[in-house]
Amino acid sequence: MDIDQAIPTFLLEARELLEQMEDGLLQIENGAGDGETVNAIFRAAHTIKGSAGIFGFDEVVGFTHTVENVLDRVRSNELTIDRPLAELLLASGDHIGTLLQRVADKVHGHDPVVNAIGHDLLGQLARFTTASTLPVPVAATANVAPAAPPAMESGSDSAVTGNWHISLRFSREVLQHGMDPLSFIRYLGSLGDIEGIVTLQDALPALGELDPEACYLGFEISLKSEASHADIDGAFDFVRDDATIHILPPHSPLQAYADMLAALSPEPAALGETLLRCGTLEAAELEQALTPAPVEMTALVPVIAAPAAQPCVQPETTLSVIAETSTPAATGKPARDSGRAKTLRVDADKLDKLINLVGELVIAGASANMIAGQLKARRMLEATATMARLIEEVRDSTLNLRMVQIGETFNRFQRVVRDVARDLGKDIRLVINGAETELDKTMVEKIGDPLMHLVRNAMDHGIEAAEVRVARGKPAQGTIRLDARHDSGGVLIEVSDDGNGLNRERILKKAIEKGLVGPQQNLSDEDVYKLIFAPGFSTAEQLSNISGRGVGMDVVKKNIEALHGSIEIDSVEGQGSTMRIRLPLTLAIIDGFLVGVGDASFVIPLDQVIECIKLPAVEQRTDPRRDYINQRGQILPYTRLRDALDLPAGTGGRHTDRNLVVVQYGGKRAGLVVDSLHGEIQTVIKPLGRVFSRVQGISGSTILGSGAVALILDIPRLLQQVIDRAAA
Amino acid sequence: MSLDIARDDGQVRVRFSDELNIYTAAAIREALLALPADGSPCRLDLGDVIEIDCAGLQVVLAALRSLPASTLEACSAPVRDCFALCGLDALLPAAPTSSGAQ
Repeated sequence: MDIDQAIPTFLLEARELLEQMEDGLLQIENGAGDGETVNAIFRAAHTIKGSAGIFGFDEVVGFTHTVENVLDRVRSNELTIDRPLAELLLASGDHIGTLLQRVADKVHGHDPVVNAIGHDLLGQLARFTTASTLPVPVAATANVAPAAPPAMESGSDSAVTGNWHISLRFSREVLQHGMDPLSFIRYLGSLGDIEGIVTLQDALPALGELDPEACYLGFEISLKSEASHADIDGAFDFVRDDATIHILPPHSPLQAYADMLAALSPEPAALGETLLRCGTLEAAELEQALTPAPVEMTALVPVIAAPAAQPCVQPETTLSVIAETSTPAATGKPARDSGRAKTLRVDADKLDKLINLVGELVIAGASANMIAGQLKARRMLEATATMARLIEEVRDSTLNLRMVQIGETFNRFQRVVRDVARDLGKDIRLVINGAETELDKTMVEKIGDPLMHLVRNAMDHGIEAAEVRVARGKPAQGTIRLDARHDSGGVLIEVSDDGNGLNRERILKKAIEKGLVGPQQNLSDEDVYKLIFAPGFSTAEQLSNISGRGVGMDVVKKNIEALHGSIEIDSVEGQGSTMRIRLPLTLAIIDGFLVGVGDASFVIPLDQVIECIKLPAVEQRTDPRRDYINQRGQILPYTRLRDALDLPAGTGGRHTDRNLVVVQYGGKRAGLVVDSLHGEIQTVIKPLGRVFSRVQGISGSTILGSGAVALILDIPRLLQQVIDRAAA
Repeated sequence: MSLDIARDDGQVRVRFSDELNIYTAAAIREALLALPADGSPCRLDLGDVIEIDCAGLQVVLAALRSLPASTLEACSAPVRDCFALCGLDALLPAAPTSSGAQ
């Protein structure tokens, strides 16, 4: 492993850790955190420092070290995170982020601004690092000092030592891979006190035979530390492939030491001497360990070498852990940390290529199916049907690979809301629901900015000042909600606030001023609200630096539409407003419903189809201007697809215009009259070229099994047309 | 990196300076192997070494084993740190400014 190649991984992980830190701090600030949150924050800072140390990013190490010191005092209850400290720690987190960015950008040398910020923060942090001069902390620390490992009352089989034992053997190549074994030992020193260390030189040849770029040394280390197994093990993340690492917790069973010795050396007794020298074992213990136990020793393979599965081995649990990892069955490399084990980073390009291929496969499958149908080969049809089902599953699984939870994007807003609320001098809380809702990764990335606009708008224009709120009988603290859920084959995201609500009169007045609508026009509330999406529209009486420049909402709408989504507004004056964003789940492949008009084929996304009915004969004959039917007692507006898309008039045959497909979107329903129904079809969405970008009612194209092209209908647009016309 | 080799009083004194690391280890090994093998005691002076890593440490350890009657003489702070880190303090010459507190 080349160390340079590891840097991006380090940066990625460090940024994730920073996010965890930030989340934790915000939780604590909101009074939701507990001891575990503090630990998580501490661990995050600690890991960043450790990894940065391995790469020699001294700036990051130095700064993070101070942050870690403060956090350590919080962890041992010497300090409590109050607002100012949370503020300071958040700012420090941001600064670590800046330093990491400098690493990423390969910026060397001093940046006076960055340095000044760092210096200032360090100065502020210093106030928290030095223990108060009162004798109180002594008592406090004594109270909260991690409980001494429960004496396993030196049962005949566990070691007396309260130190960790770490045994390291490096591969010959480790130096060539850019790593210095000494830096790992140095890092261990930061986790605790190295109370004993023996450098093994047995493998070191004479000068004449020495390959100066090969590593021959091994180390046996006795470490006094309160760190967890995961922390210690984590020190070796970057050298795992280049080293044999044994980590034995304090008070490990003597058998564990014996197993380790047996694994490392054909002469365990000789190597055992080193354990005496570094103070891990006492002579009697070593002797006892090396006395063959009734169990066949070779059966107990030294699996401690593999990183233990437990993320955090506390001394109390040592025995069971060792028992667990010492079973011969424990082969393979158990994951260090369940979160990490479940994810695998894959290049997005590879994923896109896979999705493209699956798309082609869908088309090829459809083609095979069609040919089998034409040949009327029954067995062939069966085979293609089976294949079609499998392809469908492959397609779904593949698309699923791109699905990520929207929660990550939502969580970013916690910080935004906090900071902006502070700038505005308002007290606002953010409530998140449905963070686990999954959405295509591209969508999640692209929806972040529009959401940010909406959230900022809601805070600035929506939520009133505290005194106004109280006067209106609302709680002084404003609430902004972010909700996500699946809804009719897409995702519905709502941004709502309990503030002012939109002021119909003011919007209308402004719109008339700007000439967007005529003064005589009679508009529904919904239509009035839509006016705020017009370019350059802002009713804010005072511009603030948060929003109100009128450059937001039209861009928001455009961005959402670019994702084939839509946005609508619900608002009650004085009670708040809700922005409702609907997005399709994915941009790649959908289940479609194939219909025909004349010679042309069209695809309707299947989840927007409610039912297909025969257009009542009486309707077929009636005045073509009439465009609604009575469907089971309800009015259903409809349009003839032929008219909506300006297709050539039908031949007047009896198959013309006789089917009605009822479609729905966003709670609205309408009918589309078509000639023929062909049934379900897996649809690989191919984007239309730029030439067609202005065509209304069509959202894309697809290729049918026959090789013919079918257009995908943009149901939301068509629906709107039908409804507008019906209302006119 | 430079290596000064001086003979006086029947002893060979090898003076290392600058870096003693993976980049210079090969050259240092060559230079040490080129010392005349006449059995005269060898003293390794690491007083001017400003950086030492695992590769450098290995060369020194191998030299101490392979060269006749070789000992370490002066050691710079980085060298002391490195030896102390590895529990090899016993090989160090007495520090000129030993505090006695330890």
